[in-house]
Amino acid sequence: MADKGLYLGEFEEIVLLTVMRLRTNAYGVSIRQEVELVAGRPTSIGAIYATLNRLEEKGMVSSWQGEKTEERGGRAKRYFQIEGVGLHALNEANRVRSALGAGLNLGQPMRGVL
Amino acid sequence: MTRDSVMWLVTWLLLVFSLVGTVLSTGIWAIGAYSSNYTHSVNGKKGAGICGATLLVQLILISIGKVSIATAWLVVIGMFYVLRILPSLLERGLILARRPSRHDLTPAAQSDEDPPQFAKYLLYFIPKKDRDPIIGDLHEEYVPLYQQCGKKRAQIWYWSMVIRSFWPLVSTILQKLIKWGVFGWLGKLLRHLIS
Repeated sequence: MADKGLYLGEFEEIVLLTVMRLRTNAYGVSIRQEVELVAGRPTSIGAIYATLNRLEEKGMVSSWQGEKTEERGGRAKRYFQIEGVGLHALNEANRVRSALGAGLNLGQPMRGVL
Repeated sequence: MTRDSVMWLVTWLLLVFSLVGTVLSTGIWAIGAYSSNYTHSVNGKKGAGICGATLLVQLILISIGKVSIATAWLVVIGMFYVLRILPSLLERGLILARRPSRHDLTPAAQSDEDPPQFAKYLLYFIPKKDRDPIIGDLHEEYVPLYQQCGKKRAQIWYWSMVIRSFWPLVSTILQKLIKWGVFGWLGKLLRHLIS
């Protein structure tokens, strides 16, 4: 049985995958733009940070402060990186999805169901 | 075992836990601050505050001979609220009450490419941990938009981003306050049952 602390919401999964994709350049702006570009979902910066804070509380990501730069009005970036727990949660979500989808033809609705 | 000896045992156990908690949290806070790690720094600071306050209250109660667990925990819960809420309220109050200085109003300090000031002030209501990175992130996206699309469109984008960002961040604080309110109520119930 899966660990209850490892459950991921849909948006949490998207954000976690984005942090993983961006590697060492995962901070607010890059994450928001990547989510918009890849997932095609307009997102506010607040929603991104609220999700990242939740993931940080679960121990799935960690963050650290970057350098203050002029182009950001003298404010520092907050970088994020995925942790082992986050990686495990992504694998678990992937495993469950694959197990449930195995043998199903997702291109056609099943008779009597839809 | 008498009631008094049980109370002494529990009180001393709590004292040891608070002491260990304070030392550990302060260490984590120091490491976090040294390595600029937000997770460690914020959690360590929070833990050091809570454990330190608990330790202080218990030491005072032991020194004056008032070793009542119920009283001690009621004070601890009260101090927890004060420590958590009061500094942020004071900070936000001071920011809002602060009048712009002459330096802020000079053309050199307030460039035309700067984001709308009032929208930026609204961001002072969100948690401190997120405030600086979010203001920086919005600034980073605002300036190129201003140069490409003009002031009006950039300002509309900034305002829409602030308004849309406000609720997800503030709702997290509200959820936590409600959760701690439930714990406060349980503390009162426990005190009522013990006394």
